[in-house]
Amino acid sequence: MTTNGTHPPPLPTDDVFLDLNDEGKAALADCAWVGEQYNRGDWAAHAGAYIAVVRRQVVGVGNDPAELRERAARECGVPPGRVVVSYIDSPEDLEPARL
Amino acid sequence: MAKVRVEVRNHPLARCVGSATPTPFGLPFYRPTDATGLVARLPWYRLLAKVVVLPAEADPLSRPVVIPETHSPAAILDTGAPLTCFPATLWRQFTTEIRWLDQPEREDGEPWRITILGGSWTYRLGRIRLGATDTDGRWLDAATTVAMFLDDPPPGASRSPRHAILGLRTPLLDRRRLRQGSDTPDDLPIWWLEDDTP
Repeated sequence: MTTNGTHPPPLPTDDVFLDLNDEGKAALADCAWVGEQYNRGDWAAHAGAYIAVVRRQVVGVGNDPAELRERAARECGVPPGRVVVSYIDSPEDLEPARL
Repeated sequence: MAKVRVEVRNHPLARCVGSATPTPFGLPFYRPTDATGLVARLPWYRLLAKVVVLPAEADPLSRPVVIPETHSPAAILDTGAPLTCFPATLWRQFTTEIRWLDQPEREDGEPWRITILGGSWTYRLGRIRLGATDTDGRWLDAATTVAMFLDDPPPGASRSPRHAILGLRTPLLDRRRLRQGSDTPDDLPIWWLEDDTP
């Protein structure tokens, strides 16, 4: 904070940002939320399954991500591409093996 | 210099380390100690890049304005894997964007097969156009990469891998570097995938 109590302007960066529509931004926000909760261990009850998230709410759990996405989209009234589907690792899942 | 932040996901295997102490906040690191009490920092996390599948015929420098979640899976960034790999549960959601490659038949007439993660799957090779983004909407320009597209396992066989794997030889990593930045206060590191140009 500067002496006059204001925050300094952010440093310039060369980052390239997408010009996404509101739906796209909302989906990315849901992705961020899923990741944060994952690292807090909040999804442990769903380990070994996929979760579907829309607007920061788990709207479905299942083993087939495509079916789960379609079901969640239907129930929430959103396009399938708006549903964030994420796999929750379980301790039994191995690290990726070398191809 | 464009860059995207790579998601860091703690692996639940960390919970199986009996000699470790979880952080109060969560499970990103465990801190086993030796006989002198010296704490060892033991990271157990994986890096997931949010790749974006683009139409093959798209302008190479075009940037999407809409990213359907069906076309932007999280892929484990695995520099030990030479090729990129997609399980059927993922690639079936963007089949139209895959350009299938002809493969010579094996001498024994069997389909091409790969063994990973304790399972064995037949696969096809295809070409796909991938960019990368992150949860802030940053963007790394796309590149065309050859990938393995796994078939579904036969009934009763091992289940398919759950994540895509972004392998070392994808052109999406050409002239780019992976860099760990500062740790955040809660001990989670920040990783960047970025252009290797000043």
